[in-house]
Amino acid sequence: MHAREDGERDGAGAGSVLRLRAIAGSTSNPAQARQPMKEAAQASDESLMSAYRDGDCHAFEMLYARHRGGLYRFLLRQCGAAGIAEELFQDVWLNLIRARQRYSPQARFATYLYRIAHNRLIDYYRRAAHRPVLESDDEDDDPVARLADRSSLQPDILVQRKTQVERLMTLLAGLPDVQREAFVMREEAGLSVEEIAQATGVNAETAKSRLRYAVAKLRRGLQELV
Amino acid sequence: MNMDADCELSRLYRAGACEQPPVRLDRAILAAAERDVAPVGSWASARRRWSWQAPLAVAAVLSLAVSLALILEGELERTPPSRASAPTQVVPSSPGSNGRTDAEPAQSSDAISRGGEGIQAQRELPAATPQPRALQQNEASEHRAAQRAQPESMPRETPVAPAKERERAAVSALPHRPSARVSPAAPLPRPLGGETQRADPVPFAEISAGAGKIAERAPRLSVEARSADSVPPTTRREAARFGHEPDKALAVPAPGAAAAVPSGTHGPERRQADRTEQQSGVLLEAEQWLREIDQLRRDGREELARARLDQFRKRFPDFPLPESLR
Repeated sequence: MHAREDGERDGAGAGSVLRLRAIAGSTSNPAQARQPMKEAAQASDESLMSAYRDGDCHAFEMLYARHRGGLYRFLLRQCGAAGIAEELFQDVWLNLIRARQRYSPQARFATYLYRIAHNRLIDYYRRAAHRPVLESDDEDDDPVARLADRSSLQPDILVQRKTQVERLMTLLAGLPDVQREAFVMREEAGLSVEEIAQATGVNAETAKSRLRYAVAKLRRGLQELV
Repeated sequence: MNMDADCELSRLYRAGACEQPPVRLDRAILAAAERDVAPVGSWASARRRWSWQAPLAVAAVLSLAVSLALILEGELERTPPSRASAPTQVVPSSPGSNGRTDAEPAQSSDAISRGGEGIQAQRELPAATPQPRALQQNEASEHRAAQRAQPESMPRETPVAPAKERERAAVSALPHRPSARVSPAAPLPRPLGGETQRADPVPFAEISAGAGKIAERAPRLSVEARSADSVPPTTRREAARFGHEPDKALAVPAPGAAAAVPSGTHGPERRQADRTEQQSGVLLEAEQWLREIDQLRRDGREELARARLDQFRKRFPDFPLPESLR
């Protein structure tokens, strides 16, 4: 799964947890904590969250290490500003901590986490009078074309960067919120269409359509770049 | 959906997606998670509470203890020391005892060992100690020393001893006084009798009960048996000063009267001589006591003189008091 690979990429293993503990100041001797960390690294997110619900703080550290990068980037892509993303990021984790007693492993933990993040984003959108294009699934709405209209993303600037990654990010930023949300959920958390639908509160067909539109637009934009 | 295209998109996205949350957010979130897991009444929170409650409790206890000690110390300083000296001032010595208190054994023995000087020293003692008995024992032992030439058939004779040893024997011969707080109505330890041990003093209760009997028995003694030299001139002088003539009224022989008994006498004569000697010792003691009381009055120590006089009356209820002491 993408999430597992992303977790390893983000340093969600035992070493990253120890690094996080060192940051939090909760581990005095990393050598003593290495063995339990190896065992916890093999545990699922659901079992770790269940352990944290029962009072195991180290399980939460492991969960946080696995999902901190993906969730942060998801929020950053959705709100577009680092400061706001940090605020939302903290709120999401604090909501998770407060709701730990009510957690029951009925679905994947990532679904549960990104559902919380989605709800928090909706609240942010409402407060900031930012109106996300929730149903902008029109295939005629070409994001690449809209990117060209933006002064900051003129084709000459994009040509100067000359990297596909930057192009992709630019294309991703031009996607409708719901399509970008579905795409980033799949890329960052490794959620399936059903899980994306569950996290965003829509049916599976809607989620599948959003994801399909997002991928198609990105692919088209990259092909144009090439 | 083209899987290769999806993989290419994913690869490009991951290559560009490298943002990480700041460290301060990690600290805040992990700390919040730890706080939420820690129960409210956990040991750590209890230790934090106890960290300031324990010193506070110790300080409160110490302040209470110190204030209580200061209050008690002030109370003790305000309390008059009459209780400590009360037993020696008020409670009379029991009859038949030598008047020594448990609180003054060293002083008394020292005073006795010093003989005549001990009389003045014992006057300073707060206890109503009948020092004349000690003096009488001294004199009696000296008198008995004169009888060392008597035959061995006399079992009551004590062996010859140096002066200090004789004084020590006199002290040890004094009957033990149980306590200064013994009531005057305590039972008498021994009955009066001439056959009692020589070292034992004559019980004063018996003497006090039969002071008149002494006067009755005394005339039966031979006047010739009493030598004028054997009676100390001071004794006779004091007796005359108190309006009391030992030679006539009481007719008790002087301590040296026993020496007038011819050596080698046995039986009733010897017992009579012993009885006469004991009676003379009692008389000497009473007279010495009266002299001491008079001396106390002259020294201006009226309270002590009154206490001693009360004791004297209890011990010798029938003894005629001089006019100055009535």
